[in-house]
Amino acid sequence: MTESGEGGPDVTQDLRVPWEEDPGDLYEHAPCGYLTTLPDGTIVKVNETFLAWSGYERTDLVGRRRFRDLLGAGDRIYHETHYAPLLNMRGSVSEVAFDLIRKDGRRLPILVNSVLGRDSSGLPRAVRTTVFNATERRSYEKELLAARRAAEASEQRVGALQQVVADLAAAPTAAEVGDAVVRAPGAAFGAEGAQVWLLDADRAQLTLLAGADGGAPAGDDIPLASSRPVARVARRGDLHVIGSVAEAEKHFPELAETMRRTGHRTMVLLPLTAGFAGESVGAEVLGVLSFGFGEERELSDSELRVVRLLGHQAGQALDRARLYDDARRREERATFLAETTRALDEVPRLLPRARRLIDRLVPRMAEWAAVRLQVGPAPLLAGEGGPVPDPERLAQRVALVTANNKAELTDDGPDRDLAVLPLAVGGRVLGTLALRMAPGRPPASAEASFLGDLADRVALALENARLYEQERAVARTLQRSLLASDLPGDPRFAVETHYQAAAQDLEVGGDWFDAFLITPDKLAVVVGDVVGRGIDAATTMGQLRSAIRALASAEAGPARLLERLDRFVDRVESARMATVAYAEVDLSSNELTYACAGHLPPLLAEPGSAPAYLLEGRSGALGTLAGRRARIEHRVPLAAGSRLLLYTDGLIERRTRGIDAGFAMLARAYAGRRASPLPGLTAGLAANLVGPEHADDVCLLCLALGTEDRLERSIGADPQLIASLRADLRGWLASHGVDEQTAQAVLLASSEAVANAIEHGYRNDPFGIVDITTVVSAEAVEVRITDRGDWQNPHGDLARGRGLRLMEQAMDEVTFDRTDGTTVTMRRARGQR
Amino acid sequence: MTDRWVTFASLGDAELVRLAGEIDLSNAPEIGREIVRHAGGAEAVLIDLTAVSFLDSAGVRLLDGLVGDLDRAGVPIKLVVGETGAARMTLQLCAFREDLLSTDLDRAAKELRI
Amino acid sequence: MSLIQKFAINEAGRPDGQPMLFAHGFGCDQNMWRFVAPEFAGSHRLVLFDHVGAGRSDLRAYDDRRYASLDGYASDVLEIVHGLDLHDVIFVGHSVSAMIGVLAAVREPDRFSKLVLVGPSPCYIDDGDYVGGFGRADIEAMLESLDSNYLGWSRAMAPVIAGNAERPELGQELTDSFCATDPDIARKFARVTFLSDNRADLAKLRTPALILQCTDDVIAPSAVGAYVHEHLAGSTLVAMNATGHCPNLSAPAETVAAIKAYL
Repeated sequence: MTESGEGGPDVTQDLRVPWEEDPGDLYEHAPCGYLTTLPDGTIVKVNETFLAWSGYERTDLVGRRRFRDLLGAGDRIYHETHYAPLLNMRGSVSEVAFDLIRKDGRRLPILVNSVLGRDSSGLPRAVRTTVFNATERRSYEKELLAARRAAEASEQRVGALQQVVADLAAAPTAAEVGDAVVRAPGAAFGAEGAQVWLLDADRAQLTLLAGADGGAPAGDDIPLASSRPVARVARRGDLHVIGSVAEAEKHFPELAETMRRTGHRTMVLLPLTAGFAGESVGAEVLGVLSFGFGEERELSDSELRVVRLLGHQAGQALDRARLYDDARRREERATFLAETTRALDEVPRLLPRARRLIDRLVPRMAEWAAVRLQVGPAPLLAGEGGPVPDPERLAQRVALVTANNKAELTDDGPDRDLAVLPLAVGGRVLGTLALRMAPGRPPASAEASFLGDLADRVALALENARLYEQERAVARTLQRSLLASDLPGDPRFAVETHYQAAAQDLEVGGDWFDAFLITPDKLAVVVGDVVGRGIDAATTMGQLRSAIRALASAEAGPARLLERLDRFVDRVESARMATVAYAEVDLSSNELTYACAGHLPPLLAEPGSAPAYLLEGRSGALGTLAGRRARIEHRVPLAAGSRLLLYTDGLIERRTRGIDAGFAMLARAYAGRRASPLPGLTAGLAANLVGPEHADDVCLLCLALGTEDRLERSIGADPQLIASLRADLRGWLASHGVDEQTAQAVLLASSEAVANAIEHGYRNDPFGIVDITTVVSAEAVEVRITDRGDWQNPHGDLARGRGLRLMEQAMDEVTFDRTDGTTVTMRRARGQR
Repeated sequence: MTDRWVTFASLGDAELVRLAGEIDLSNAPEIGREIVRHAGGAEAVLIDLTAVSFLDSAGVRLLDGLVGDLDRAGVPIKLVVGETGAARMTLQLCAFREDLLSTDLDRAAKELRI
Repeated sequence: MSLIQKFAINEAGRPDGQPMLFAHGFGCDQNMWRFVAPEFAGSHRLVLFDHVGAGRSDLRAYDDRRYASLDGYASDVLEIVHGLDLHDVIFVGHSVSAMIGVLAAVREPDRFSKLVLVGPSPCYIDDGDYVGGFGRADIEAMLESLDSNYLGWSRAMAPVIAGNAERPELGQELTDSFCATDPDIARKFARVTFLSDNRADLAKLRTPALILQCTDDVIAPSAVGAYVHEHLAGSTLVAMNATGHCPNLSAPAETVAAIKAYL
């Protein structure tokens, strides 16, 4: 197919066409319009059908009009941006829909097919176009399209609304309601920049709940009284649709500015109300939803209905969320109060308790909080969080609250939400709690009753802590003073004790230990435990301790002592059910007599055998009414080198293990330390058995018999003192298992040597000192006695001569050294002769 | 004052002197005086040393002097000591005459009457 | 997704040559440069791309918010410039892309040496004394027109879109897809194109620019070309004999000649 039609734009007649033209009906009256145009669209040939449809004369068109001139403006753009490029690219275009503007201005929907013809060099030459009347088809299509778009839009709106309703149902908090609502305008109407503002009636302000703040002036909050459109809608409670910037300019100048900034040409401001749909009067406004459109847009009635529905749905959801929030907050407050009381109880001391309170409050409840306590000369302070308020202003208000015993929940100053509460017990103000509530929480003024409750509880807890602290200090002092007194010790025995207070900050316990000599040869050791804690327990412990010291006597023995204690306890009620392990040791015979009144059995380690619990001599606790009150005692001989352990239950009792396991552990640990030196033994046992978690006081006493390897004594030049030296020496020798005969020989020889030193060396010197050193080995006992006296003719005196002879006879070797005073060294092999 | 160490009783015609505890330089002279005061006119003297836990040369001197005085006065005397013990050891070491010593009070009492 | 896929970037010409970046206008894709770009292959590095939402760009990259203004498209141009490390760029933009190029060059003048603006218009809507050529109603009518062709479009183009993943390289199918755009995106691009007002940005441009003004361009009438020329300091206006809005298609030779003469 070739085409003529070149000829330029000045052609005004039908051009001759190159093909075999039969200008019959077929062309002119075909059922479609035919057009031939130059590449720039200038019409060069047109058939009758097209002229009839368009209402133009041929002369109106040929050479005078371009095809696009017959189209409306919208179609012209489409023609230029789609049809023309496509035709150029592909060489043909089919079924493009246009509206033909007829000469009379009416529109005829047409469908256009075009083919671009090119010359031999490939340049565009002419365009042949067929035009079909698409009135019916287009109207059908249009209807279809319109129906479809309406359905789509409606479906979109309904879908969006359904989505919102579903989201709202699952949105228990205002924040979640906001998130659900802010998505709706975009989904339903293709709107932009949606924001949800929540009305905070307590603070009389609107807070941005969801959506970007389109560059609004600093701060998210708008006072309800503000002139800003959001505030006005919230006050008035009716829907505002601002159709254009000009309209905004007239009514809401501020909004016009925002619209210019955000590029919105239509704005919708919708109150979110809690009332029923349609009941606009008196409906409570809970928030405002605002959104915009990039173009000027009128909202159809159905769209407005959807908008209003959205407002009611959102409002009801906010109302629900508010009620839910209220309930949750009430529950949260109750839980918070209960948990706080419990948490405070866990730390008994005052300052830690105050700190614990602050830890509970910040940041969960308050962004800043401080407790100030007026106890003692300087105020105690615990604070946390920020920003920290102006100290001067705070001090003024603290003083005011302290003076009036009345809470100040708001301030007129810049720090409006800073609340100060009195902490008072029985009308007496102990201190203050100052706080600023956390962002997102109601202001202190809206939480008055809750904060009042909190302050009451805190005050009580802190007052208790203060009392506790006071009592604890007294009790500790008392306990220390009682436990610190000197314990006896001599060559025959040594006592090691350990007292370990509970790791947790508990009150002092009633555990105690004691050791004292009833007579020079009779030692009493005691470990006991008074029921309860605190100052009462400490006082009772002191009384019992003194009572035991007073009631112990050489003749009584443990059982009698316990009987007397029972009578004592009948008068001192707080001592009832105290437990006591009491033992007496005869140091000359190394015999142990013990009795346990409800106390754990002593543990005895004898040389060469495994530690054994002393399970005899048991009876009930002191003053027991149900337990066995007949006091019995038990007697066991103690081998030299024995170690007896008395202890309180804190050492072995654990919640996590049975008492049997505790006994076994202690016996094992004790056996493992048999060779350990006595100093540190009890502390080591406590560390070993009592883990980091020791919830109870622990008290231990270990008695070791005959523990010194080397006896060193110095005595004055007084014959009366020789007996006590002998007693020391006797016990010491016994504790080393020295046989009786050897021991007696050593005692005799030593006594004679000392007597010599006193009678001769120091005959003129009543203040002379005699040094005695005794060493025992597996084979022998060696004694060295030194004086710095002035001997004269020691053999001259018959009686002294007998003494020397006794020494030589009793011992294997006796040597004298008189270089510096006189030193007698004597040795005797152990064992029978 | 000396009650802790010495007590007196009569056993038939004999004066029974019981010694107890430790007898040494510090108490021996006083005990000696006490015995002389009580037993001065006795027809026979029994000294019970079984309860003595220690005896030194001063004690030996005391006993030695006592035995000497009574021997001179013709008053029979016996020392009762245990088969072992501090007193026996000391007296043995000092080589006291075996005829003075007895291990049993009753036997000693009988022997005195011979 | 890679930059190449996102913008369906095609490169040609001399890799070491001065880069020419061709940006198509509303309704088309990079194929509209097929008669023009090759003429520069011997001397320049040619970079052609499709705006996101057009041609074979990655539709997943389309974001309502980003492309709600021409700034988003200008950002894309700069993304390409940086991604391909282009300097001294000669930006050739048709129709709305002419203004996109102006915005990009205002933001990063260091990267651009010259702009070739084919049928530019800073504002299509009449505003007071300013004659953009259209009223707001015309734009709505154009959207109607888009919609009118939507049914036909969807009928004709659905198979092509369906076969999207396996389009052969260049060829007939490519031109089939020419102007084939997701109707929803097309509507949005149309709005952005015809409702934007970037007159104020013209004064900020410091890059030399060539304005190619066609005869009888209904989209960008001569008065608009004159306005652009007047407000672009250091710009050159060439009035072409070519008619219509797409001289690059209808009169490629004249277009090429005008550009070469300017360069």
